[in-house]
Amino acid sequence: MPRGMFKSGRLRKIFVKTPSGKVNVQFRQRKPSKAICGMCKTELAGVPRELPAKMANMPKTAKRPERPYGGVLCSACTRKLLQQKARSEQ
Amino acid sequence: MSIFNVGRMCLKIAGRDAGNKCVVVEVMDKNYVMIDGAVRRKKVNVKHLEPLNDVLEIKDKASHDEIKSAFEKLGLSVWDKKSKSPAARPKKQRKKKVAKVEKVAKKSVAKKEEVDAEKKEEPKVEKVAQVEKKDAPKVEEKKEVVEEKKPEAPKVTKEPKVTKEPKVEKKEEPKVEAPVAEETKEAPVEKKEKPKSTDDKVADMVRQTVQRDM
Repeated sequence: MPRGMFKSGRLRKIFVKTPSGKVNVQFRQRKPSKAICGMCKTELAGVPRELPAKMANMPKTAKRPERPYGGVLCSACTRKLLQQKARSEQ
Repeated sequence: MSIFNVGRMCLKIAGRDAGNKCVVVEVMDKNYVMIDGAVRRKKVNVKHLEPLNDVLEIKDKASHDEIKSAFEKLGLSVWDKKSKSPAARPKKQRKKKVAKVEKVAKKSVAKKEEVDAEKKEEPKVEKVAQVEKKDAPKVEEKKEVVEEKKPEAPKVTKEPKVTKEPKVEKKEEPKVEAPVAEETKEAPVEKKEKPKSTDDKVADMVRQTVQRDM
C-alpha cells in the first residue's frame, strides 16, 4: 500500500524511465504560487517562482526588482502611486 | 510646448531611481530628456517623469557639480557614483605609542631608579604576607573537607557490604544450580522492602533463605 502522503496529491508526480525500460514514479515538492501585485493582482515580473530553500540561497537583487515597492506592486501600479503622491503634495 | 524644459524639477516614476527628485538638464528630443540630481545622470523618456512645480535656474547641459550646488541650496542630496576601489586600511598606531613611552622612560631613568629601589622592598614584604595568608586558609579548607568526607565514607562502605555478603555465601553453600536462581530472585525483593538494612538484618535474611532451601 502506498503511504498516505503519496496519495493525497500534495506532491507532484514525475515519471522517470529507468535504463531497463521500466517507468518509475518519483514525487517532488510543488512550487509555491506566483507572486501577484498587491493592487491589481496581476502576476509580478522579476520575482522567481522557487522553493523557499532555493530562494534563501539567492542574492536579494535576484529575488525582486530594485525599485520602490519592488516585489509587492507591479510597475504600472507603482507609477500610479508615485504620481498620486507627487500631485497630492503640490 | 512641452513642460519638460531645462531646469524643470521632476519626480522619477520608473526604474531603480523611482521616487527620487531630478532636474532636466538637456532636451534631447520630443520624447527624451537628459536628467540629473538625486538620480543617475541619464537620458530618459518623459513618460518616466512626473513634472513638479519648481524650476531651477541652470544652464543648458549643466555639469553634475553645478546641479549638486543647486540641489544643496534646496536641501536635497545628490546621487554620487561610489568608488569601486576598496578603502585604504587603517594604519596601526600601537608602535608609535610604545616608542613614545620608551623615550619618556629613558629621560626619567635616574628618578625612577630611586623610586624603584624603595618600591621593590615594600612589595616583597607584602607578597610574603599574602603568601602566608593564602597558606593559612588552604589548611583550614582541607581540614573541613576531610571532616565532611568522614561521615559520608561509612555510608558508602555499608551499602556495598549488603550486596557483597550474599554473593559470597551463595558461592560457598549451594552446590546445586537451581537454588542459586531462587536465592537471586528472592534477594532483590527483600532489599526493596528494607533498603537501609544493617549487617545483622542481612545475616538474618541469609539464614532464612538457607533454611527454606534445606
